[in-house]
Amino acid sequence: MTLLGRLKKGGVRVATAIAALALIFGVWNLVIVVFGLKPYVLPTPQSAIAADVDHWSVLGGLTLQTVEETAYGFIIGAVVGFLLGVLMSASKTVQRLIYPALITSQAVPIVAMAAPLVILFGFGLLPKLVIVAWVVFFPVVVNVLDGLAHIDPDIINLSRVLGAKRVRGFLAIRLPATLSPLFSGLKIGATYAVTGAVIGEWTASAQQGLGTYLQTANASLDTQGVFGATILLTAIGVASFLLMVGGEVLATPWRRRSTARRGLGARFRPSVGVGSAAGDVGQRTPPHPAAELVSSSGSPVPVAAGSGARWDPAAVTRDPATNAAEQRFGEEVPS
Amino acid sequence: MTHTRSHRLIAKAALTAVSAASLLSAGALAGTPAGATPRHSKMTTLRLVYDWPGMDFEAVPITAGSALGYYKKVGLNVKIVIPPTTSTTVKMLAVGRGTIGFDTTTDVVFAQAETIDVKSIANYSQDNNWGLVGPPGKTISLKSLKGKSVGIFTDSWTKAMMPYVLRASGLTTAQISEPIFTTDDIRPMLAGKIDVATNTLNYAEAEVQNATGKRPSVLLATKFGAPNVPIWVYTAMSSWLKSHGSETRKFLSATKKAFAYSIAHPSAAVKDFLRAFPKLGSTHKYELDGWLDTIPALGKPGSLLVQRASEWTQVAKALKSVGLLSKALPASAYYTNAYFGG
Repeated sequence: MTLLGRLKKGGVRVATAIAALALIFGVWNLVIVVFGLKPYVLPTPQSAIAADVDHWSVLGGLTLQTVEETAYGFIIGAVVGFLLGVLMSASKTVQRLIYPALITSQAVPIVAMAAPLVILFGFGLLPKLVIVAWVVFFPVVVNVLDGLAHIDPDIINLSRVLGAKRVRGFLAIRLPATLSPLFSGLKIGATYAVTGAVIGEWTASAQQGLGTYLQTANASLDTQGVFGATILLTAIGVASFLLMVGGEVLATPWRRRSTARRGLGARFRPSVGVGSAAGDVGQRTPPHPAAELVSSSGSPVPVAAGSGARWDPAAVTRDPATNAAEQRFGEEVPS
Repeated sequence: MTHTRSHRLIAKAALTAVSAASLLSAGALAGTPAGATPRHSKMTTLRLVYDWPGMDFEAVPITAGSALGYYKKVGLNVKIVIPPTTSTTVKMLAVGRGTIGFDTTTDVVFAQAETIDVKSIANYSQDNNWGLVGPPGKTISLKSLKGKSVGIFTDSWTKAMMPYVLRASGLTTAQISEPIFTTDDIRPMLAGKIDVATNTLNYAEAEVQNATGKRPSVLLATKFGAPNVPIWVYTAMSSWLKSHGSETRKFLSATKKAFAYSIAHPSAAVKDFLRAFPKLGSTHKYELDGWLDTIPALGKPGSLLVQRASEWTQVAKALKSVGLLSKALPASAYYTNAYFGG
């Protein structure tokens, strides 16, 4: 796509986002007019934003505090969720042991759990991080687990036959396969993380954040302040989501391009199988019969562990007569 | 509000406004001796919006009045409505979701500042029983607060009172730690997670007594310069009062009788309360402890429910002095005694 084309596409996206925002604010104002709501019940979005502007000297610091709680908690939750997903995928026993506990953990009302956490960990950042991580990790675990469970076993087998060690197989096949579902989980977690931070602040906090500000404004019947803080919290949630979308774009280029980018990610190029992406292994690629590797001349390929031959899944083709997979060894790997 | 109400939050799940109302009505019928009250051809229903999203002993006079038929006798059916949050009562009155409110004086002042014309029609309590609460047997000293952790709530009453704590102890906010709580600061205090809690005496004593069997150490704010003003009041919208003066008078008259009965017969009144809310999950001991600790704040028998202009002037002045209010209105904007003597 040309630069002009890209700019046009970007411009359309921004315009659409602005239109969506305008639509939300328009409906908000319409509800106030149609139902004749007084400002102390529901203020206009303009007045709520004006309240934010007026009190920004206070709100700026509080926003940073809440962002900090959200970000750290999110990172912890995402890492724990990813590792648990990988661990559970590696061992059925571990999965059977941990999965019920994970589901139970999400059935526990987070508000009920928050109070004991505070008693246990005090009023600093830690209990808030635990609450945010608690909210975030579950969608990550479920999605990673799902991604790993849907890898085409033939591709795993193929990599083994080609001599890929466990770590290499994980890095080249399993890890890329988790990326799409991982980002689905991260996007869900990112939007929920800010709610976790607010619950943490509401339970007990030595530092004020937007959650405690919201409570104080509510106690003073400052409805504009309440909705102003709510808008800021929503913005944090939306920004977190967009960050994850950005991360996904960078980490899964094959979802937008048919060829891998040079540089970052090129080494573990995800293009695998018959024109599919490793990130979507097993999700888009239909299972195929176990492949027998043959050379281009038709003789079996001697595959030995540590032979030094570079395995390139993209170079694997099928013999139409035998339906067997074939890799053209010795050929330059296209990038 | 400032007080410990973990029981209320537990009760929130079990209670709904509908069930509360029906139970109250049932209680009223069960507690009324047959033929003791005249049948009113048309009963007026008053929806009393509570101040907290859960029920507790501060509702004892209303449930006792219902059980004894005091309200039915004057043609009223009082239904208690539980608000969704601690600061919704006034708004529910303003939009017509309730008729009578159980509120704090600070809520009335803030409502007027937001042009919500709500007025206090009677005091619930007469005294300011807010203060610093410590573990049993541990004396609280303002001089030793430096470097200590003092649990606070986000409500306006605490905001109004904390400057008095700091002023009396000669400290700044930077010299103490103020962990913020939204539901309960007594349990963390008893667990040693904070040095001192802030709360109202009736809730603090009930919870500490039930947890430890001992009374907490308390330093009331009035002992170090805070104004001795009522915390809780009954409220209504001015517009509603104009067209329902008769009902308001009848309500206050019956409520005053219910207060007198509940003070004279605390255990029986608490039993009526628990009969009205059988799914509360609370014990007679806890509610009775709380009610007995509330009684001293209600004032002398002759001054039950009565309001004074000076109280409102002091509340508005206190809020203004700590920067929570930009303009203090005349006391008449906040309260009216016009509905006594119905």
